[in-house]
Amino acid sequence: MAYGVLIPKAIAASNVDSWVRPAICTTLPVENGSVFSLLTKSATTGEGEVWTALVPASSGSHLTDVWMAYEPELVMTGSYRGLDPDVRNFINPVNKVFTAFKPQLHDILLMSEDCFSGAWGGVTNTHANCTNAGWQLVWGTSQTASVLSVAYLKTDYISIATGAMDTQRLTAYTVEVVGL
Amino acid sequence: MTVHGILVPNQIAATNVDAWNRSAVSATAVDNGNVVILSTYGAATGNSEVWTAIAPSTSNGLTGVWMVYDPELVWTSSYRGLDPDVRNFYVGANKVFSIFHPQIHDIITLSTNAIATGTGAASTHINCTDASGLQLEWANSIGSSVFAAKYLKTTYFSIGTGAMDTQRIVAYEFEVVAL
Repeated sequence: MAYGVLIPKAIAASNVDSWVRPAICTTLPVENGSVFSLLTKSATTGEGEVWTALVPASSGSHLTDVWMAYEPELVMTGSYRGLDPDVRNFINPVNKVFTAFKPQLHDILLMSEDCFSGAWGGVTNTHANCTNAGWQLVWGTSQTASVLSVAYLKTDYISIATGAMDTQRLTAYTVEVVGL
Repeated sequence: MTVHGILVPNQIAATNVDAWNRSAVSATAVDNGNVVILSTYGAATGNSEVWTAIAPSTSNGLTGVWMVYDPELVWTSSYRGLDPDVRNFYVGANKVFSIFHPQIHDIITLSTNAIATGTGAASTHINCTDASGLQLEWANSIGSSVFAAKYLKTTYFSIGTGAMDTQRIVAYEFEVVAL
């Protein structure tokens, strides 16, 4: 299975330390590019600075103020990391600490199609929005009010060794954060 | 000869946040201190990271603006940097220039020529308006749901003006209060 690949082309969190946090998910693995709420810190001993990632939920208006996973793509192969160079195989394992950043308005992201829930579907899908119980952004024909939302800018690619004869490119989308 | 606007970004958050700096191109000439709306991204071949800048308006939007701030290397025919007078600097049409995204509490200083007359110099605010296009416009109050900056004080830029007694030109210091 191919997991999402995220390239943060221009994000404010690159320069603002307080918009970067360590997080952990105790229920399932988290792909880069996934969004989640950080409402409480981990109660586990030794994780005093680690936040618990929760799936975005409509209740409590937790579709806003969400964070995004972005961890260096060192793929786990058995007990080892870094043996597999294909970043599409990277996912943050359950109960492992990973890095999250807080998207800001006008951040520019390059996200592979696997980062999204469902196919893009064409230029009518102008936005991708945070939805209830969804770790991935969902394509839509408009910006959803009062949720994290990104605007589609263009179809692009990420150069990855895909194994194909003719191309080593993976379809990706350049998006701009337009709603927090 | 037209005297162009001068901008000094005294304290802007974009100095420290790379994502709030972008490259843009406009079909019309722009001055430093002009405000623009970004319409399309990477539209021209070879400019895949360059945004198309258009003038703010009611239809294009009066919020979420970006501000022009490019190094003042004046064009003299085909050469740059021969003319030291920054008042002669502007960005020609279809030339790529730098912009930044102002943030609340940014402090900027603009020369007289960078601001549309409106209610007159040293009014309480400068607002982004439909009528003033690329320039912010003097007003006696903050505009509703528009980009705006609050007048702080009258100051000056030290520039070689050629005058016998002073080398200063009038400028105004502002704080960004609405995005």
